[in-house]
Amino acid sequence: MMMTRCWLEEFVDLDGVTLEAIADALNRIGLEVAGMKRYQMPDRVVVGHVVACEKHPDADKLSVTRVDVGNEILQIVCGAANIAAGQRVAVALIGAILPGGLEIKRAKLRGVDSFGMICSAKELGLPDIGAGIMILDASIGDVALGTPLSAIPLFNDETIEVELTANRGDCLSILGMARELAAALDRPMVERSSFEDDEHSVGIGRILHIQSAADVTSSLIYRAIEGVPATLPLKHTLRLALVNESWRTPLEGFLIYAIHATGVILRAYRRSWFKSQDNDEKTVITIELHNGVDEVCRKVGSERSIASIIGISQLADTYPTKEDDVIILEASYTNPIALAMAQFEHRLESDALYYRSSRGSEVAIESGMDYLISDLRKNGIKLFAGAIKHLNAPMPRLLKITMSRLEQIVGMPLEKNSIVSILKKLSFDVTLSHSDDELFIGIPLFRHDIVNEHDIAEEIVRMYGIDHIPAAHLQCVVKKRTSPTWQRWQRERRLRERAVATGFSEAIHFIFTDKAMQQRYGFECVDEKLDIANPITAELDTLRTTLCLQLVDSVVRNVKNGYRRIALFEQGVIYDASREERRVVGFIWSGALEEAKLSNHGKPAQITFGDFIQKLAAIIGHVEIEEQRPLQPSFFHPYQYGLLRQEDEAIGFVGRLHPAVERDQDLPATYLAQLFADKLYMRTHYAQAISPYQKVKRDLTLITNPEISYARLRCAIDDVAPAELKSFYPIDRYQPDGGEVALTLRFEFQSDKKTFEESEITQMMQRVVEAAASVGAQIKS
Amino acid sequence: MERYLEALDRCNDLESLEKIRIDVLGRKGFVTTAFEELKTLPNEEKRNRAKELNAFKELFTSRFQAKYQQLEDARLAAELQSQKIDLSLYEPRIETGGFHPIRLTMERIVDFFVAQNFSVEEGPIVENDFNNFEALNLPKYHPARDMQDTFYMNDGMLLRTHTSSVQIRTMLASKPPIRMIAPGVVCRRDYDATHVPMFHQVEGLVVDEEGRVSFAHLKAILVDFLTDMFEGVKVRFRPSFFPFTEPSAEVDISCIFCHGKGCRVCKQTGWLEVLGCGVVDPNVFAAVGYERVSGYAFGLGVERFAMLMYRVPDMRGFYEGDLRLLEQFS
Repeated sequence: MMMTRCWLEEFVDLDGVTLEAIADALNRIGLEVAGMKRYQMPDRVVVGHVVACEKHPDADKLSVTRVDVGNEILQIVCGAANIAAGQRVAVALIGAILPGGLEIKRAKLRGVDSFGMICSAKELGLPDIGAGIMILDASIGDVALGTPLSAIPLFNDETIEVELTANRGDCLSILGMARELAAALDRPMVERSSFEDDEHSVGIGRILHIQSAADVTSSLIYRAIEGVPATLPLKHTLRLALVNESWRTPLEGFLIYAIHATGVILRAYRRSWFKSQDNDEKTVITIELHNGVDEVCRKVGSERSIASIIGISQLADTYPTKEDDVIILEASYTNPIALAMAQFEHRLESDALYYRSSRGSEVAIESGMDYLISDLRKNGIKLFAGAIKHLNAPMPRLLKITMSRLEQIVGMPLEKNSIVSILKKLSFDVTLSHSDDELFIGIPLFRHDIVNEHDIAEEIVRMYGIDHIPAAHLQCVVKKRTSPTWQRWQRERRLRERAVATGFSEAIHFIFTDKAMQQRYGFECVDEKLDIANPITAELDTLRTTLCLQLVDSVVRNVKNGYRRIALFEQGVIYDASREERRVVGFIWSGALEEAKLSNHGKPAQITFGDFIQKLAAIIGHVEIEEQRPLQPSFFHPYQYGLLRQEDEAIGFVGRLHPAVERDQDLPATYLAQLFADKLYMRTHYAQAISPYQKVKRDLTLITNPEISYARLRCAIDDVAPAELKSFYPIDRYQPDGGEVALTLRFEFQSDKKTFEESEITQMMQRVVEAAASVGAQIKS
Repeated sequence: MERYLEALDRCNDLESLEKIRIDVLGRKGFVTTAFEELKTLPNEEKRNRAKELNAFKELFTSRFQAKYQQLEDARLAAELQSQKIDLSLYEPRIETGGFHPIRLTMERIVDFFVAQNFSVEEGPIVENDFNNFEALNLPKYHPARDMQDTFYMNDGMLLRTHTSSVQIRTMLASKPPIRMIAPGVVCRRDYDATHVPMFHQVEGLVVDEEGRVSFAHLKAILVDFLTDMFEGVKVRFRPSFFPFTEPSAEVDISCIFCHGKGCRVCKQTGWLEVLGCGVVDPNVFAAVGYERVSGYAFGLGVERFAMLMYRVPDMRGFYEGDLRLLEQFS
């Protein structure tokens, strides 16, 4: 909501209150000031009268004028197309410095002397109100030639922009804001006299009949005028520009001006639209309730056409035109909640005024109509006398509240007198009850937002000032609040800390991604029936089903930024085809294993599958890998991909990016893993007894065929392993010329009862050798 | 005997020192031999000679010890000297990763409230209309729904526009008293220089018996919270409006960049808006079937806090795994 100080002063006395004080007061009472601006006319810019205007002898587009500036007549060359003799204009005299920094000097234009400049609004630092010079019409008042513009309030106004919250429809007008300021600053409202019809005007009843059904819910006032205004006065043009309102025709300008001033919904119709051919004298307008909204109709025979839905929209064909002789004006008010519900239910197309009517437009519709017609009359428009009214004023609402309840909500003792005075300032009616605690509060009609005691408490809080409410600590029940979410939060934090310590940086990506990309690489997609209906861009048109694509994208960006060792992880949610949310953690490592440094002579090794698994294990602990063919064969390496298991439960997958993707994206070797967060760290670990006897280690080198996977060998040994074989693991692999493989394993034996005899170890190793032989691994001869 | 003592004096290395020791005290050394010869001597002479030999042995041993210590010290010093390295070459290259500033911020916020006996709750991002709007006093036709551009799903569900939906879920799933926060992801259909379609919020809710929870309590916890997050700031409450709280307020801190003098960041106001709050609207309690209760709620944007707490100048790098940003938080 934009307003100007001068406009506000038509409604409230702000004499002596600075712009800053106004802004402070508004902020204090919950009307957030989003911007302020002061307009100040430069010195030596005065009102002049164009006494003569002739074409420049040597330039088509220039005029040579003689301008009376009060004490002298100046010759000024002017380039504006709209200059004409007889106009009053703003003249920048020699020596004036315009807001753009232009200094006015004596000049010669195409050989003709010029002693000043006739200005446009924009050149004076005012909003752009159209091409050409600013013509000072009667709306600036009766000012003498030579009067400096800096002395005319219209040109030296101040604007304030307030970011209104959705509950305060009553503040969507200068009048509404004035009411709030009057309360906040304790200033009186300006008395406005009501409109008196001219005695000799033709009565409206002679030309118009309103036929309104009994169930019509809106309040309506109709008036009629003769013809449309030819121009919009400068005052209106300038003020509407200052408050960012636009208009198409002068009549619309007058309407918007009155709406912005009073908050009343105003519309104009051309009478001719309602006229049936055979009825020329008197127009009949029918108003009927339909689908919960009131419709303004033309009825000819059985044909029914809708001119407007009150508070919602108007048929463009009913807008007045220059040719129309009689214009019908309408002021309306409809209950905003009923209006919004009907609009939503019937999906009614709405126009700009709906913003106001659905938030609660001004109830006192006479004030809006009076403002409009007195304005039009002042500007030479002839009115028909009288108005046709259909008033359905809402019933005043009464609320009983108790002081003790208010105190409980606010949290401090409240003085009854100050509460009454605050409410009265805000135009509430307050009646004291016989009980000391009770108050009966009559809610002003324009405050749609007030329905219960919390709303009254809010009024008290904002007018009393939150600063005056003491902060008090709540005495609460302390209880166990270690929710499962909190436990998960703790687990995830530990995991993240380990990931960072291991070298991964934490990424966060949008939960949206590019569906086409997911499909291209063979990832599942959220079922179309469950996917996003209104995506914001084509690249973010679906919920992600994997972290992998975004992790790769981030690696690509970092490579472009010159990074050679890129390790990222993300803890977040993904979805499956049925849109189930699943918490996962993804890891990616691309390029170098270490930074370049002394120990690697500046040539760090590239990460390998083994390194990547080692990094993962440092974060999540021991994992087993089950080799598999990837489900996304064009995204992952076909032979470097597997499921990860912990204690026989699948926890996710690990794999290398497909070399073709690496090549396309210009990436070095890149490894990825994605794990289900809920599968990690879920087990409680119990300590094992510590054996007092030493571990015995034995190494064994086996010759195997490269086709035999280690997993098979491991299984075979596991099957025969005695309880004393605590662990075994590969420590060397040698494969000369791609032939047979020499694989060295280390075995660790330990008993919790005794120290082994050499013969016992030999016996156990013999079982291992036999098991190895059963899968084709021979002991090295 | 003098000869040995002179040799000891002249000795310069541990090796010849050992040789001298063997010459004197070894099995065939001078002292051993001389003691063996004693038995060939008559009594008187034997006693004198023994006395002389004992005195010599004592003198030699103590001189030897001193010499040994001297030479050993020198050897050790030389050895250590040879192990000298240029420590300045070994300033480590940081190879740990970096935390995401949004998660760091969220953790700090959660830690504060957990320390005040709040529980941590959560809910799904894909929500229904009731939990996200209806129950929060935002009926379908309400004009305030305009404030939140919503992503809808083809089956009528939506992506939650605020973590306030977790308030509703928690109230439906439990009984008062409630003291909870809900950190999480929210989505709004807005994407430009200052808006992203997904960001993070933390929501707080306290519910207790009717008449127990007031605006004054809300004020106390938020002042404590904000002065814990941003040391030394002033806190300001401005009345505002949210459909689900009443009375409502927006909360500002004094600008951490200019300390309230006015700068570009605070748009010359000296204040930075950081959260919204209020006393829970009775309609919200009615929607979840709570009777005779009172409560307060607040909500904040984590990105905003992260930008202020860690002075991150803009949001663009937040969602792109940008190491230039992340490695600063290792």
